[in-house]
Amino acid sequence: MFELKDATMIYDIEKEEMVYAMKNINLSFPDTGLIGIIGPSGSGKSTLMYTMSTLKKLTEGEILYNGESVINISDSKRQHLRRDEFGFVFQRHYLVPYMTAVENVILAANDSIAKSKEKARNLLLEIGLREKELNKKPGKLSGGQRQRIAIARAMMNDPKVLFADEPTASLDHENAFLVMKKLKEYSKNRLVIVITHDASIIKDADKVIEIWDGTIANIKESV
Amino acid sequence: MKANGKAKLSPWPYIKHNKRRMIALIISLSVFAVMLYAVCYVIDCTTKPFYEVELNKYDSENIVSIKYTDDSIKKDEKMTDEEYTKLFWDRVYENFEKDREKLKSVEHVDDVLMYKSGMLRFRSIMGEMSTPIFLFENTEDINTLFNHEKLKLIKGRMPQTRGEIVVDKKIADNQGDDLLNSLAEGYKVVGYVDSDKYISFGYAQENENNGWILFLTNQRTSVRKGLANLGIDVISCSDYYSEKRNLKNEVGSFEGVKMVFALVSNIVLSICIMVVLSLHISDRHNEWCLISSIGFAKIDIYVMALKELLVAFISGIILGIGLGYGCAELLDKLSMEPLGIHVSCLSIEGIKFAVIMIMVIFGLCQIPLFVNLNKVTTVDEIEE
Repeated sequence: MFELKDATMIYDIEKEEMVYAMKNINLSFPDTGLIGIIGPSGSGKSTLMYTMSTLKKLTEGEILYNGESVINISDSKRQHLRRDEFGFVFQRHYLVPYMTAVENVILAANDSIAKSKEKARNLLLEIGLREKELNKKPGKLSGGQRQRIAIARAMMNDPKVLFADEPTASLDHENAFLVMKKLKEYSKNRLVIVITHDASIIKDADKVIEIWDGTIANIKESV
Repeated sequence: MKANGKAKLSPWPYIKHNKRRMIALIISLSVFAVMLYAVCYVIDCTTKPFYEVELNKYDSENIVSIKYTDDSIKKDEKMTDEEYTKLFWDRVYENFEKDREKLKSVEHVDDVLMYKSGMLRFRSIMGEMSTPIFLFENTEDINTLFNHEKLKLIKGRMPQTRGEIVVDKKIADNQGDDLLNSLAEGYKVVGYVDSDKYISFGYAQENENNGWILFLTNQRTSVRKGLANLGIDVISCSDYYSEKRNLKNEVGSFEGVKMVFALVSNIVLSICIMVVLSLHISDRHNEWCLISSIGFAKIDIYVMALKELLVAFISGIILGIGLGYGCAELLDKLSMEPLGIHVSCLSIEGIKFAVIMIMVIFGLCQIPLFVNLNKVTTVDEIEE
């Protein structure tokens, strides 16, 4: 599904000491499965996710999605990819503070409001929110509950690829495994890319890519 | 990969969950609309009576001065002033009668009458004006005017003897006890008519010493050219067009006052609203960056923000005009009606004025909107 060819991302390119967030990465991703990307802070794992999902542009190299480049595409194609093909769980949730849990989930919805509302409710309940929390605003919910809303929002349009940046960061161990179980289930017919620095949560991943200083340190595939 | 244009961003969640902000914006706009509407109404109350009292009658009349005096009439030593005046005006009326059929041949003229003019006063909330009362020498001419203008006697009777007059009800209300002060002594009100043209008429007293020719026309016109074609020398001709020009010179300055008021208040309010709006939009920077990241274009965000603004502005305009109308009704009952000034509280001019001024603010609000939209990026850049 994804293919990265010599993907390089340099920060402060104008400065003398250039910072390589990604350096000549060559990778390919399958159409389905749970892929874990692991590495310490600043290793370039989030940059990898952002470049693959068209939020950031590579300095050099190529990223192909279903055989087509995602680097120099039109704005409308980029919007289509982000809205219909990809789902995002950001590290800091980015929930809209004045909207309820359900409204936050349907923010990205492509269907009619009535249909989306029903789907959003089901998604939130499946992922562990309680009925009475569905109409609460993020400010009234715990970090874990907010994280779950962000995950439900990412799943709302049934994306082909779900990018999740530290999806279990605000969850306790029990809930973290519950979310990972859901993502594993979700990856049966989609590609789910999970970025984390906690190896224990991606123990069931189909493939684990280890990144150090912007380069691939190790790739481990489950048997 | 095909662009998808299905679901749009809805303005309602923001409106629903930020009621206080929206209500504050709507109230500010509606107060401004009330101010504009009330200013228009007060200016209407000042200028409209001038236009109505002075102009309406010229929709079907021209007042003309033509020299019909006879230089051969000299005052005899034995004659009293009264006798001379009577002789003088008898001769003028005779001369006019000889010419009457010729005058009636002017295009759009139904009839021509000679009358003596008295003056009635009409007070507006700023200033006072004079309006003629048509004083005739016989009841036949009185009836001709009455029928031509399709007047309706709402109280009393028609004038039958010298000194009896019928006045417009609005003028009578407006002047109260001062009604007859501007006329020669001896006049008595015997009836009232109500007409949009503010017409008053009567039977002239013997001592009235002036004469005018009244052209009763079947449409708004000026008889000046027609009279010139007949070779008649016109000293003066008051018609709709000439009177409107005169009035514009006299009361046009009120329009200037209205515009200055609107401009100053508009600038002050625009600045306030733009500052408040900028703060509201800055609060939503992360939200808009998120929306942009999950695949919406900036135009989608702009349209959503525009809809939110439109809801506030349209609500503000409707509420403001409604309240403005209420204020006008109140002013009408408390101040205008006792003055005998009848101006419709529903001011189309006021509505247009308020809508245009508020839409100008709406236009100016695009500036903070564009500035902030320009700053919208994707969430990865906020995280950095």
